[in-house]
Amino acid sequence: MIETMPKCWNQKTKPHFFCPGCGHAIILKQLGFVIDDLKLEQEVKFFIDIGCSLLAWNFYNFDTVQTHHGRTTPTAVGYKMAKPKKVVIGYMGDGGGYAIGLQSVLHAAFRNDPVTIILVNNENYAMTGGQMAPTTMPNEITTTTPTGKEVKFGPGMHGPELIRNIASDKAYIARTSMSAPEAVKIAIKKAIKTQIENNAFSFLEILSICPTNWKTDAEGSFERLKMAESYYHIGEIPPQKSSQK
Amino acid sequence: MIHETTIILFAGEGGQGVQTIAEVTAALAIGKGYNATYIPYFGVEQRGASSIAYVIISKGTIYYPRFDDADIIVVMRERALKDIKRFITPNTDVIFDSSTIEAKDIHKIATKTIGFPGSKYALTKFGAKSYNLLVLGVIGNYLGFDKTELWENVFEKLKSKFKSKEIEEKNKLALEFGAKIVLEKGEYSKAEFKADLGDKLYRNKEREGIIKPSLCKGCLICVEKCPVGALSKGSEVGFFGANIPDLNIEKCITCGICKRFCPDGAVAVEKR
Ligand SMILES: Cc1ncc(C[n+]2csc(CCOP(=O)(O)OP(=O)(O)O)c2C)c(N)n1
Ligand code: SF4
Ligand code: SF4
Ligand code: SF4
Repeated sequence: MIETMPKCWNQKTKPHFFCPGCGHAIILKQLGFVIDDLKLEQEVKFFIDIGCSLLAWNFYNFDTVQTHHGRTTPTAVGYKMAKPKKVVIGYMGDGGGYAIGLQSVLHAAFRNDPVTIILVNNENYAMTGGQMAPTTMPNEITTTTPTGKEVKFGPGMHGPELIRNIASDKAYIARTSMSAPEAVKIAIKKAIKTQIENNAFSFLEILSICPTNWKTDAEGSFERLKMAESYYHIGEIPPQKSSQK
Repeated sequence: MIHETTIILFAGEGGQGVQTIAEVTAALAIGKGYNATYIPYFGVEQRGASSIAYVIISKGTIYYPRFDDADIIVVMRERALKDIKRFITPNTDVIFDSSTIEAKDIHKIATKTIGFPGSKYALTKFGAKSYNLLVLGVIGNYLGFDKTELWENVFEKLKSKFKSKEIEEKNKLALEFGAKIVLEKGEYSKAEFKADLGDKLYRNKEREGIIKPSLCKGCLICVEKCPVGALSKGSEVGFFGANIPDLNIEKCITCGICKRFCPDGAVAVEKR
């Protein structure tokens, strides 16, 4: 029998709840492959936010905790404090991580809490109908910026770069894009290994697609993603030379 | 016929035009001097599930656009049956697409049933995209709207969607055809246009592939990403009512990209 899914996907809950062509599901697939490769199914505890990430509440064969909007990081950190041997992964949208939950993410980075945060940046508040997010790029049309995002709302927010400023040098902080699933897998592996081997904080932003709210077909979704890739920088954000954290 | 108040539930698959059918039905009633409401049903549990719309038509005031019991239910796909169950009373007329839904399945949940082989006529005569207009014809006729008025009103509402004269003409024919379909009572068409959800297997000497219509949502990302054009948009529809891809196993180079991308775990090819 040919396998079409990672082994740790809960087959009984498929088809899942994400829209046709959703980037979240493609990213959750790479995460699944990584957990299969590293044989971590028994060790992982998965924490999800409010936003489309919540649609993953029954996605995998491992335990998943549904938190409040923006509060995924502290809940995951609390769990890690109680069970330091478990591999703790927080998963959220850009609204959850950079808007309502930014201070939670910043403080986890500042304290160098040994958890892995995966943030899916689809550049909008997808679950609530495609409103402008801090990550929405200039001039983009959303339901709350019908004539395009104006300068007064700021440029697209660069989260990993911001977090790097206060994070420990041991922390792994990077941005990848869903257009390159192999690179996503490599980055997720590195992030998880940072937690397990270095007992340090790791943060990975993954640029993603949202065909429903950006109203794109398969081709259009990836064209838009290319635009996002040229606006945001892809790669690891290394510690600054002068820092002594 | 529209009574003092007529409560209608529309249920089908995303992509079948359920919401358009419901909205235009309400607009037609308003054009006739009735009060009418239309509201789509949204909810987390609704994601990836069937598409549902509430319509109320009344001579009096409508206080709330949702309801628990329906006078009429129009159901267009088998998968929506579980969602309409709770709206059925012994007096509800269930109008179903008899070319995709088995009469025996409808009779498990409803007593007053009326069939119309909508998918059969849409697919064989006009193309899948004309399905909503054909169903509008059926419903418009059932509710007693005048045939010529029906097209005028529908055209007014949907003209921006008709991108060419040809499409407009096709839709007009589908609507008029729908209005003339003789509704089935007791004797129903065969449900021969039901989506086949069995796995599609492909095989040659070097490799074997699988496509799962029961999971595929028809996003066509695999088609977009296949580097050698071995995948293409097929003509069959899957569980979600969307066209599923077709695989040319001879062209395939077993690169694994389709499996890596498919958000729904619905495709894979492996070396034998
Ligand atoms: C405390 C709180 N504020 C606001 C909301 C409403 N809300 C639900 S999802 C969401 C936005 C989610 O966007 P994002 O985090 O980017 O995730 P996406 O849906 O795009 O994946 C908002 C504002 C909420 N549920 N709770
Ligand atoms: S709204 Fe966008 S992000 Fe949310 S499930 Fe649909 S495609 Fe995915
Ligand atoms: S990527 Fe998957 S869900 Fe999308 S069309 Fe291909 S097989 Fe279907
Ligand atoms: S394995 Fe590669 S070549 Fe074969 S169908 Fe999939 S994407 Fe195309």
